[in-house]
Amino acid sequence: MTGQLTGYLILLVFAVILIGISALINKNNKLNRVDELLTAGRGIPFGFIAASVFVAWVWAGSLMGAGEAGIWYGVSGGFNYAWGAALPFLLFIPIALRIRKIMPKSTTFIEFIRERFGARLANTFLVFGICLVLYVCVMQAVGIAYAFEYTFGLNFKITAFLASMLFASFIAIAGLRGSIYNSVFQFFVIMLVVFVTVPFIVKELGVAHIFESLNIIATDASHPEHNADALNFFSTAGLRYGLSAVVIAMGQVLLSQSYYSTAASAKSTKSLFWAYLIGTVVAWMPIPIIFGNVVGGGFHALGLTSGDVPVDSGAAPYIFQLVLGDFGAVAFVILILMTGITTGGNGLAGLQAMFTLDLYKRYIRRDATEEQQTKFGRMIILVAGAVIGFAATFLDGVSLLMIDIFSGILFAAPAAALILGLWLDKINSKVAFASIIIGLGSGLAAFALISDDELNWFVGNMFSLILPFIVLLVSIPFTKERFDYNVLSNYEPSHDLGKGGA
Amino acid sequence: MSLETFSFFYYFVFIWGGAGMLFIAVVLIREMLQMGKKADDMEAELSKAKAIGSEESTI
Repeated sequence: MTGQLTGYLILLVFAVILIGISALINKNNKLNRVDELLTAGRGIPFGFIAASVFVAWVWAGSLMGAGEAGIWYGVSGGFNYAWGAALPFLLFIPIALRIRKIMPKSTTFIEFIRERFGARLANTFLVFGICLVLYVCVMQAVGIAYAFEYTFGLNFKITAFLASMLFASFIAIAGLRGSIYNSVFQFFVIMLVVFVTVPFIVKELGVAHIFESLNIIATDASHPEHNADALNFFSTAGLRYGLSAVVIAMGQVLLSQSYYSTAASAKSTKSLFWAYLIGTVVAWMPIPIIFGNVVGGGFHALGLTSGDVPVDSGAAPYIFQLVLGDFGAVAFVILILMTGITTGGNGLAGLQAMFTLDLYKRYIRRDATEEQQTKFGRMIILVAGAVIGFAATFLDGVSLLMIDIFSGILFAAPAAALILGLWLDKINSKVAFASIIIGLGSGLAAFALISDDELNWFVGNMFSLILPFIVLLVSIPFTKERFDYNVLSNYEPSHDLGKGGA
Repeated sequence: MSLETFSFFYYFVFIWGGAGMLFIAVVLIREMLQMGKKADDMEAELSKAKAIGSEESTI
């Protein structure tokens, strides 16, 4: 059952379904119009947005990473992962609403940065934005390849490449609309898998047994997995992990164009607000808590130790397979495939917008027609898919969690300039640029210079996020010039926005 | 943490997640049905307009 053929068959079946949905969308919509391709015509209703946001934020990290946190930190692990990753999303909601209000005709956040701070900072954000999407997509391809390699023995490199070409294909065919509509299908698959398999695992292991196992871990100092805080909901180590999750997620949310594109595609401001709130806090937040509880608790209830099974990538599939047999293994792989493809596809839809509007139209071909722009947007995503697949083939054996933690240092530094630049008119372009350099430099320096491996990543992440805020806030009393936000409301993009433009 | 609190936490998160996803699922199904109905209406109107057009050209 769990042979290579089954693995390739699963990939093929989902490839046919997802590309089929995209081909259908392509046939029924005018996707040679820039606004249709990049913001799905700005008329997507609440439920589609909520499902899209939910599945885009559920990825291998939310399942395997939260499970790992549950193993290390006990009962507080999944919860700390969840609030840490949800907080930046709560912050994103007022940001998306603010951009929609002050610059209603924008598509990318780079357009806002360009009008607010000028070309230099816009290009800096463009580089950060492109690198972030490539990083997130590479991680999805790696996560999918790990799951297929572990369960079916598929070749890591081939699977990573096929997975990235799959999500690149359906975005190249149908743009953001393809990402959102496919998300709906994937939402139902994820929902079905989670709420069929997880209760079975809990029933098999028993809540009382899980509790007893954690109790032993907490009280028996001679236990190899001893953790005195295993049953402490407010443990300091868990809280520290939650704080670093905030920093890591901050860059991943605020610099990801796909969330801005999805926000721009919402039918109304009201549906945008509720879709993002319900998609994240109500529907998404319990998922990592559930996986932290079930994988973390299950790991100890089964008497496993970190020597038996690799905690970072192997614990979750191991528990699914051990408790539910072949059915569990297949279900887990489908879950990882769906979560990885949705996040990758969503990321590429954002990349398509940045490449088309902020690079091609602005720098490569200024007189490009809408048809030429959409053609470029489709082609470049296939190229990006190949690059992502190629990059992912080199990461066999690399810990997803370590890369994730390091990404916080790299991508959190620009958050302050973006957030404060939206509300404070005295934030200056030069200081904003300096704040990014200071945040990034100090974060990397802390990571490299602090010898304590338990502390260097935490301090590095905190420096990268917090120092730019301090620099910008301190600069305010010394800045004379004020930015007039009214100029943003007159912003006119070069492409036609159709009926959803205002 | 007692067994009761632990069990409550486990089941509460399940109910919370289940309710959240179920809510989105119900809204999605409703929206998909509405979109289907809208597409059917548009198709009916289009074929009606086509029929009128062909009648006029015959006259």
